[in-house]
Amino acid sequence: MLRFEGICKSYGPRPVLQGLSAEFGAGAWALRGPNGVGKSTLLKVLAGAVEPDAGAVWIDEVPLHTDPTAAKARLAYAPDECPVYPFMTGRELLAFVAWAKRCDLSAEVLDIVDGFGLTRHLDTRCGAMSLGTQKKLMLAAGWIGDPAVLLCDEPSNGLDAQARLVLIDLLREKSLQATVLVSTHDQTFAQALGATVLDFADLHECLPTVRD
Amino acid sequence: MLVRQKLFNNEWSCRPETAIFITPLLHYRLRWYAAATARLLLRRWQGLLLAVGLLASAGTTVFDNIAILNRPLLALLAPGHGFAWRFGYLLALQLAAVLWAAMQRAQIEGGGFMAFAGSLPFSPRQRRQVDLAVLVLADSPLLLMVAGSIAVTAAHRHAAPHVVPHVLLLIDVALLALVAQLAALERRPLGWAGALLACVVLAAGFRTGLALWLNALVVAAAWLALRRAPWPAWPLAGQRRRLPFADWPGRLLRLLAGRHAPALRVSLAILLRERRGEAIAKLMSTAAVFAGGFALMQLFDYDDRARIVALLAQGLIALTLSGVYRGLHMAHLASAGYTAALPAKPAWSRGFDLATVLGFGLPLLAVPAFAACVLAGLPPLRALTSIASYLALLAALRAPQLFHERHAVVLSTIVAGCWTVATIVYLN
Repeated sequence: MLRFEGICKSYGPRPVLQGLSAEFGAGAWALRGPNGVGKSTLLKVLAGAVEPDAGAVWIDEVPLHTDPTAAKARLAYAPDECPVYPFMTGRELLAFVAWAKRCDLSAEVLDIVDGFGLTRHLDTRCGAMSLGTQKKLMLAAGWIGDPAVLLCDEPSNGLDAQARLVLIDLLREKSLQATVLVSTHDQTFAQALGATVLDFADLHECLPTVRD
Repeated sequence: MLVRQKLFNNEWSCRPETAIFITPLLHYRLRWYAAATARLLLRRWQGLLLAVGLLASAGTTVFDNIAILNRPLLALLAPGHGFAWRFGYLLALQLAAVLWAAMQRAQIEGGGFMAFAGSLPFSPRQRRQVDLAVLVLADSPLLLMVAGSIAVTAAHRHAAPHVVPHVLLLIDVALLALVAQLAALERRPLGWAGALLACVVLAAGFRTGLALWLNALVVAAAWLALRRAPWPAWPLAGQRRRLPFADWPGRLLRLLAGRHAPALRVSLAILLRERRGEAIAKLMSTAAVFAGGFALMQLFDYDDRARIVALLAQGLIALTLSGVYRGLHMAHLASAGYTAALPAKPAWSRGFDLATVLGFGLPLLAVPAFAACVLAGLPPLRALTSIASYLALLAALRAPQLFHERHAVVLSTIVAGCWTVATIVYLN
């Protein structure tokens, strides 16, 4: 469902990703590694939020580099921070993501919103939300459009205990039929997901693939 | 270091009721205001000096020149108008002052720092004094106008019996403007109610036997209102219910844009929420352009030249509004880290930004055309053509505005100038 080959990315003279390749099927995968090693950059590249210097990404067999719209329609990305417009309300953000994915907000998504306790925050602007609420909103938006690949950057950061349990249940369920790739330092969280843990350094070395 | 010394060595800091002296807060607020508005402040003073240079006449006295420059304020003192006109004019002046403060709300309020400073033991009165000091700085170009008007009025010997009431009235206008601005900044509608009542008193008492006393009473009341803090909240504050028709903007958007409404809403939200100050500034600038154009049209007795003035005003308005594109573009860039991962075209926002700017500009471009149509006899079809032409100009100005930040103004001015000349030639 998720495949990438020869991904390279540098920021100025500093190389961050050098020739990464892997392939993931349905299931939960947890990427770990020290801070600043490039986990978030890799997820951004896989999500199409950052263009790689070299390499290619396939989302559900659709090449991200040649058909980005179709590929992105099959993926969802929940960044670590909330880089969305601070003046948008939660409801507007969800409607906007649904518009971009050409779908409606399904009952499943509304249930997830409710499960995270977000319903009363939907008319609050993102800039005025707490970090945890922003995080829940970004995660809930990940279920819009029934993605085949779900990329989550540090999804458990800043969540309260109840939301953490809800997220674990949701990700476990999602991983039965989709690729869930999370970057995390939280080993307990990764174990609760039943995720296969991958070390970022090993990912560098274990070219070319990590198969389901 | 100087501030630290003041903080710890000042005798006031030893008193429990003023554990933290007000000066450092004022110092930082003023510094923040200067840092946040440095370019804007410079531009406003440049604009003011340019206006002085353009409008000043070499053949008249200094006082006559000051009178010309302060005509918008001195018009309030002109006899021959009734209660309704004067009340309406006072309200318009208050509204202009409120808009002036609203467009720099974030800078006046002190930014995110004040959220932290709110946890420090400043009394409401201390905070009010600091707010007022920053507001006076923000109002400095307007207060200069009041000072100039007072000087002209005080020197006017022909209307000796009215000089003192008129000077007091001008002071009232300045103080009420501060009251209305603080009411807007603090979201205390009761302050507006007080200012409204004062406008009624001032308009009713103009050039009557009680004018002096009424004007003095309003000066005292406004001064007290500024010193007293905080004003009581609106009795119904926090009890507002969502009205059944409150979602009419959403419905209208869905009607206009169909399934694209959420994306159009993003561009509108940038303009009306994040960059509201800029939108208000553009509105005020276009109002000033229209007011200047209208004065010229009057001067030309609504002849052929008046039509050209209307077309020129439309060109200036289009040029002014085109600055909005950059703000929209920057907001989209700031969120690209997330939106780039969505399955939308890379330039998805372009069309919605255009629709937003054109929708914002349409009524503003229509006003001079309507005035030329009604007052200067411009045929309706030509008036419509001029609106269409300047809407096209507004759309075309997106490219030069985003081409290069440094050259955006020059390029846009060249495009707008050429387009305006072509439109004038075609429509005449």
